[in-house]
Amino acid sequence: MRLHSFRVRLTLLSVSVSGLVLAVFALSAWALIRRIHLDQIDREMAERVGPIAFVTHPREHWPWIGGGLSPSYGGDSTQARLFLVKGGGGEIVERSPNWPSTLPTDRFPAPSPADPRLRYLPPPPPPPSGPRRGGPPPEDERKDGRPDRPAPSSAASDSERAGPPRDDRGKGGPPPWHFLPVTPPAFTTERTRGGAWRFCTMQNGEVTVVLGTSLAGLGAEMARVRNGFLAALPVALLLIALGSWLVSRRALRSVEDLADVAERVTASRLDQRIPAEGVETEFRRLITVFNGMLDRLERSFGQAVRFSADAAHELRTPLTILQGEIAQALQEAPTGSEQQRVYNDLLEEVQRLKAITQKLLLLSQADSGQLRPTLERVSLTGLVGEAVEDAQALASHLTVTADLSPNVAVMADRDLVQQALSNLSSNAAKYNRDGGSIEFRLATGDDTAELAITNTGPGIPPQDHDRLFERFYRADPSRGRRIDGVGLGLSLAREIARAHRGDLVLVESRDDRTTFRVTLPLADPTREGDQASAAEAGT
Amino acid sequence: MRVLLVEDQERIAGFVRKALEEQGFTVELVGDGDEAYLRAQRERYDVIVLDIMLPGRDGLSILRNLRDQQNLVPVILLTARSELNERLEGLNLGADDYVTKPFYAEELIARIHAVARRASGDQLSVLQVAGLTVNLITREVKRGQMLVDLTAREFRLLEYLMRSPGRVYPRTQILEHVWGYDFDPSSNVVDVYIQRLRRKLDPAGEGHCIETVRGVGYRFRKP
Repeated sequence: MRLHSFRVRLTLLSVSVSGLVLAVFALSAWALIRRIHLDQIDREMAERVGPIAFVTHPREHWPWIGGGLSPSYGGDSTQARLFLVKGGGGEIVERSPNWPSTLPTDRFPAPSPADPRLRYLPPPPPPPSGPRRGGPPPEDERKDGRPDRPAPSSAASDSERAGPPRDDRGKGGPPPWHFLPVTPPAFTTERTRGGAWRFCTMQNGEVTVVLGTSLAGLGAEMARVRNGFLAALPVALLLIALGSWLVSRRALRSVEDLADVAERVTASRLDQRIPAEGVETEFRRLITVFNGMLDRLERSFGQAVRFSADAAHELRTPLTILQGEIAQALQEAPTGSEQQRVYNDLLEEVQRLKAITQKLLLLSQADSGQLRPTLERVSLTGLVGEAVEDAQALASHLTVTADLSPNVAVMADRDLVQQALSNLSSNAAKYNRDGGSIEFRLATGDDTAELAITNTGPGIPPQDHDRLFERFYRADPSRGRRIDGVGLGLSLAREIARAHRGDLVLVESRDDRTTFRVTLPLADPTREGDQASAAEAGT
Repeated sequence: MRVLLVEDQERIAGFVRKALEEQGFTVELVGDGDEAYLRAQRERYDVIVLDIMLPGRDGLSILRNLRDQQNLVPVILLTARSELNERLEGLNLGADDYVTKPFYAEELIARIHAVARRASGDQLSVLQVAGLTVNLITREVKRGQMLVDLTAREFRLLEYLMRSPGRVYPRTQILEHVWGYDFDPSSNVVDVYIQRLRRKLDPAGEGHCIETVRGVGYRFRKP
């Protein structure tokens, strides 16, 4: 995945942020729903256990009470109930038949008479003023009960009012039908092999009453909620991803337009502009700035190109006159005279001037994409052969070797290619060492001619490799003009190669071995001697 | 040989005319495009030397009209490198050659000879000076009856010097003609080739036909 793409990153970011938020939301919603359901179960159990625990029951009533808790033991497993009654000594008074064997009953405490909350207080002796029937319980019983629990207290008082008449009062011992103080319901969750159970435990002074409800129903409910979330979450994330992908594409379209135009902008096509209509405000400024930059670039580039062309154009007439007149004067001066030598020196300076203006002109044409070679069929083997001959003649201190494929023909501008070759060849001689060598190799590739020129001598420093083809670059500034003319040679040679749809590259420059390679497209063998048009050569 | 020189810059026309006349050509000079076109239609010339930028009708239009009328008189265009497209257009229109400004008169003379030779056949194809015979078609060089084997560069150098015996050729001018205007001006390539040429033409050292002009260049000895 392209992690460097802004759109991908934006989409990933929005998906992960919203995914996180949604996940947190889903988890808390799930927990909340579960809590609410549990509370419901707890309340329902407390409402059932409370009335049972408030009063004493004869032992033989317990199975009947337990059976009355609907839905009964067993039954629908999701609604299943468990019932347990423990006596004061820890003995099981009643246990529902479906009580799981893996769940020990000692998880639930036996009633402890010592618990101050459960201390049984006998009713106060009847007041001497006379018996009261159905009256409210004495003050201290209410106090010892749960004064801070209004529900049991009021239930107690209600039950007392509605309770059966207490005929046996005054006979001693606890009355057979009596309201007992109870502990507040305690809720626990136990896991057994058959599933999770929720228990409500209440104690009075005599027994512990435990009612359990299966959590299977709750589990199923929560699974439904969870599945709902799990199904919705990916859909939501997908929608968010799609949305942000589309939105970012729309937002970035301006940037891509900008890049497209920038790509199309070359020296010969500086007139490209980006339309700013219908673009977001944030990008409009960028586009305006970019267009403004192109305006300035086009203007100054046009000026530079026009200047070079105009300068060369204007110079050609005075230079022609200057050169012609000096050459004429040189012919007329006495042979071997001082005068003639002066004319000769002047002629050399004119020559230098000509060469520089010519090169600048070619470079400005190359820069503006107007360097269109006049193509004709040229024997590259012949041209290179002449360069080799020159090198052998000139560099007598060097070993010049050549390995040239015969009959390599290219469609090229003879003058320009010759110029590029003589540049490379004279460089190879200049930057050589005593007793070194120059090697020319001309071969053909699929549809290109490849000329490699290798020379010995100190290599070009690696930090200079990129600057090598820059205008006015010189490997060693201190050597100055004497050794490298005006430093336009390599730059121009590369432009010439490229104007021919070829190239010039530095292949290697190590210790004592530097190789340049020129590639030029081969002439079509079926078009013998054909003169191609400049338009075909392109730029 | 009759040459029509069409050039509006008087000073350029001046030295070119002078050099051509020294070469023995008959030169008619015209500085106006319309006038030049009329003359080219009316008269017969061996070669027309045609500048492109002219008052009145421009050089390319003169050339186009002549060729449209099946007038095949050899034409050499005077162009500048800044007008590569003009040069190309000129060649496509049927110019026989072109010379890039600024140019040496000797360069133009060499081109005129080459063009005229192509137009007229073998008459002008042999140069003969002081026992040295150069056949420009077969590229055969003979010293007396001895065949001399020259490389392409050596042949071009010899032909250039031989064209005007006695005329002084500065090194830079030789360099431009044989090696191109961009060849490293500091190199001694001209001297090296002159030495080689002398050795080949005169192995016995009986007397050089190429003389050194001290501090300037070389010239072919006038017989």
